[in-house]
Amino acid sequence: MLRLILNRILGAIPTLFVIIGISFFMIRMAPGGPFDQERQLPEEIIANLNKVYHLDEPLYQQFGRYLWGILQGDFGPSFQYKDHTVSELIFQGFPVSLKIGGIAIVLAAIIGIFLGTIAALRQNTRVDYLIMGFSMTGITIPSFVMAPLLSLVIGVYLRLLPVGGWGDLKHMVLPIIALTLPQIAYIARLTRGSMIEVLRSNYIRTAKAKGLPERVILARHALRGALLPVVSYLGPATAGIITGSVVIEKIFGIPGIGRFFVLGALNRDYTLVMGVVVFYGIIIILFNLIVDILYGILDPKVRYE
Amino acid sequence: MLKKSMFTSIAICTQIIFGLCDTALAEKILKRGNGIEPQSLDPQKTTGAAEGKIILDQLEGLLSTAADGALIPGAAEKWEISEDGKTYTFFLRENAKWSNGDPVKAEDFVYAWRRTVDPKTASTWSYMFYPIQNAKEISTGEKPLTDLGVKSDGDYKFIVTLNEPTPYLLTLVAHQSMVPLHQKTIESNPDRWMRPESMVSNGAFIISEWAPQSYVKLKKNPAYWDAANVKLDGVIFYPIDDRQAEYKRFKAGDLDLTFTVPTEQIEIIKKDMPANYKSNSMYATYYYAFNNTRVPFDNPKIRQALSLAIDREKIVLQITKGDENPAYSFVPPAEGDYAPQEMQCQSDSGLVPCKSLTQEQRNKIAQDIFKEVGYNKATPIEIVFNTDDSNKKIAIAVAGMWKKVLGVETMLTNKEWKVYLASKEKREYDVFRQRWIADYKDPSAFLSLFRSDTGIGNTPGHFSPKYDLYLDESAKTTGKKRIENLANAEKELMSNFVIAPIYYFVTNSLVSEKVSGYKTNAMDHHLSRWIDLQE
Repeated sequence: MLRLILNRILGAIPTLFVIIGISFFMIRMAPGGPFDQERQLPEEIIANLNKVYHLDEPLYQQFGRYLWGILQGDFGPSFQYKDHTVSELIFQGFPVSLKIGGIAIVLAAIIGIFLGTIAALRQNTRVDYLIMGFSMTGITIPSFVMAPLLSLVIGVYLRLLPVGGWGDLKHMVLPIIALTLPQIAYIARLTRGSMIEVLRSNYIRTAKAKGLPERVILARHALRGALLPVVSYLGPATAGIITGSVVIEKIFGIPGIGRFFVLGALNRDYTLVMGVVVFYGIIIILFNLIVDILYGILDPKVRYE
Repeated sequence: MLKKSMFTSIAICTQIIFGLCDTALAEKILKRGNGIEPQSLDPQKTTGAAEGKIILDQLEGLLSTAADGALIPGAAEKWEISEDGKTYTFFLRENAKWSNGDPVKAEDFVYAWRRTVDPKTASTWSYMFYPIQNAKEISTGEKPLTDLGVKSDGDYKFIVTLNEPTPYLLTLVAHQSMVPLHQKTIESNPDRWMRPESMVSNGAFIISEWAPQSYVKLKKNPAYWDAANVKLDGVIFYPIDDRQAEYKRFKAGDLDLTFTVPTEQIEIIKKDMPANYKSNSMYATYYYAFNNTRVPFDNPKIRQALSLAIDREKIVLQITKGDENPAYSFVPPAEGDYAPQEMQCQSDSGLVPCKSLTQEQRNKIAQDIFKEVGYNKATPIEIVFNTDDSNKKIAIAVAGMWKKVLGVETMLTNKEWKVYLASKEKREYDVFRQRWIADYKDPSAFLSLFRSDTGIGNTPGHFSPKYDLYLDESAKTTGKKRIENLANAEKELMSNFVIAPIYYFVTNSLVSEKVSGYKTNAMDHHLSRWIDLQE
C-alpha cells in the first residue's frame, strides 16, 4: 500500500509538469493580455507594466522563472488582483469552497446512497418511481436554474435565509442545498443501478441460501459491492465540488476558489489561472489516489502488493 | 462586575444567534453593492470605478466632490492659479490629519504624484499626469523623478507646474489617482500597506477588514478633519458582479445601495420600485466606431448614411430602457461653457441638426446617399461587440435598421472581452461597439481619443491633421478661445461621421428608502461621507 502511494506521488510529478507546461503556453496563446482594457494605455505605460511583471522577457525565460517559483512554493503575484499573491488568493478561497463542497458531498453521499438502496430494494414500486422521479428532476435541472430559484423563494419571498454573501452558517445553507441536490440525484441513480445488479449476483444468492438475515446481506455484502461505481464517481466529483462551483459561487456571492479560475481566464491573469490549474491538478491526482486506495478496501478482487 | 459582563456576553450571544450583529443595531453601517472585486486598493494600481469608490472614501485629494458631484475643497482649503494658467498653488488645510495623527502635508502629495509617474510603479494612471511638467518624460524613463513639476513650499503649500494651461486640472486633482499617500507607511510595507493592519488614511473612512470576493469593510476615521459631519459609522462594499444577484440582495434588504441594476428587469423595477430607482446621466457615450481605414468605410458619405439609418430613439426606448438620451454628438451635454457639436444634416433649408429631423427624414437622406455613391450591398458589414446582453440586442437592432432602410446585410460577431479588445487593436472589423466614460469632466477627455497619435486607442483610425491642430491649439489657449477650438475639433469629427454616437450612457442603481444624502450626478460620484441612514 505504502509503495503504491509513493509510486503514485512520484508518477504525479511528470503529470503536473505536463499540466503546467501545456496550460502555461495555452493561456499565452489566447488573444489579448492582462493589461488590455477599453481605455487604451500609452505604449510607455504598457512597457512599464510588462517590465514589472517580466512580460517583456522571452517566453521560455518566463516559463523558467515560473517553474523556479513553483519549486519554491511561489505562484507569483496576481496580475489582476495586484495587492495579493496567487498563493494568498488560493488559500483564502479554498477553505471556503472546501467547506461548502465538503459538506455538500458528504450529505449527497449519505442521502444518495440511502435513497438509491431503498429504490433498488423496492424496485418497480411507487417508492422506487418516486425516488427515481426525484433524481431525474435533480439531474435535469441545472444549478444555474436551481440556485436562483432557491434564493428567490427562500431568500427574497420568505426571507428565511440570506440570498447571498458569506459569513456564518446561515449563508451556507442555500449554496449547500443547491450543490447537494444534483449530486444526491446522481448518486441515488448510480447506487440503485449497481445495487440491483449486485442483488442478482451469485454471491448474494449464496448468502441468502446460507440463511443470513437480509440486513446483514445488505450491509456486509451487497452494499460493499454496490458502492464501487459510486466510489469511482465520488473521487473526481469530490475533487470537482471542493474546488468550487463557478455558478453557485457567483449566484450566492461566495468567495470560493472556483470564480478565480474563470475570472483569471477572462482577465488573462496568467499567474492566477496557472496557480489554480496546478492546485486543481494536485487535488484531482490526490482524489484519484484515494479512490484507488478505497477500491482496495472495498473490492476483495483488488489487492495491491 | 462579573454579573455585568455575563449579561453582556449573553446579550452578544443572543445577537450572534439571531444574526442581529450584522444588522448593526446601534451603528450606522451603509451596505453598498460594488460591482467587481477591487483589483487593488493602491490608488495608483487600480483601473476602475469599483476601486475608485472605496479609495475616495479613504483618501482625500486636493479637491473632493460634493453629494451632487460638484467640485469642493478637499485636502486643499483654497488655491491660486497663475495668470498664464500654468502654475497652480494649493493651500492645504492645517487641520487635516492622517488616521495615525500625522498632519497631511504638501510632501505627501509630492511623494504620491511622483510615485504614480515612476516607471517602477507601472501605474496605469500615469497618463492622467501628463499635463504636469515632465510627467511623460519621467514615465518613459527619459528624466529623473525629481523633475516632475510638483513641489512643496513649507508644509502646507503645494505647487503644480503644467506644460500648458490645463483648465480642467481642478477636476483632475479630485480623481482617485491624485490622492496623497503616507510615505512612511508605504515604504515600510510596500506590498501590503493598503491592508487593514497597516493602512493610514486621510479620508472620512479607513479600511477595517478585507475578505477578497466577499467584502471590504471601512470604519469611520475619527482623525478626518470633517469627521463631525460624517454620519455613518462604517461602510461595507460588497463585490457582486452578478446583476441579478445584486438585485435580489437589495430586494432581500441586504444592500442599501446597488452598483447597477439588471437591464432585463429595468421595466419591472421602474414600475414596482420607483422610489428606489435612480438614473445617473453619466459623462459617457455609447457609440459605434466605423473602421475609417477600410473600404468602403473610408468614405464619409457611407458612414453618414449608416449613422443616420440608426433609429436612436427606438434603441433607448425599446432596448436599453434606462432613461438614456439618444446621442447625436460624441461629447455628452453637461453644465459649463461647452456646447456639444451635433451631427448636421442637409435639408431644404440648409444644414440643420440631424436630431431635429424625424427618423423617416433621416432614413430618406441615408437612402439618397446610398443611391448617390452606389454602395455594393453584396459584402456584409461586420459589427463586433463584446459579450453582453445589451450589446447584442443593440447590434441586432442596428443590423435590422440597416437592412430595412439601406438593404445592407450585416454580420454580427460576438467576442469575449479580451478577444474583442485584441481585435480592436488590430482594427479587424468594420464596426466596433464602443463606450467611453470620461475620467474627468472636460470635453478634452473625449476628444483626445481620436488624435492621430493616440495609437491603437484611436479605434476608428481617424488621422486628421486639422483635428490634431484644433486640439493642440485648445491645449495652449484658455477660456472662450479654448472652447472654440474644442468645438471645432468635435465639429470636424461629427461632420465626417467618424463614429456613430448612439446614446449618452447612464448608470442606474437602486437606493433604499433608508438612505439620505444620495444625489445623482454625471461622474457617478457618491462619497459615503454625504450619506446617512434612517431606520
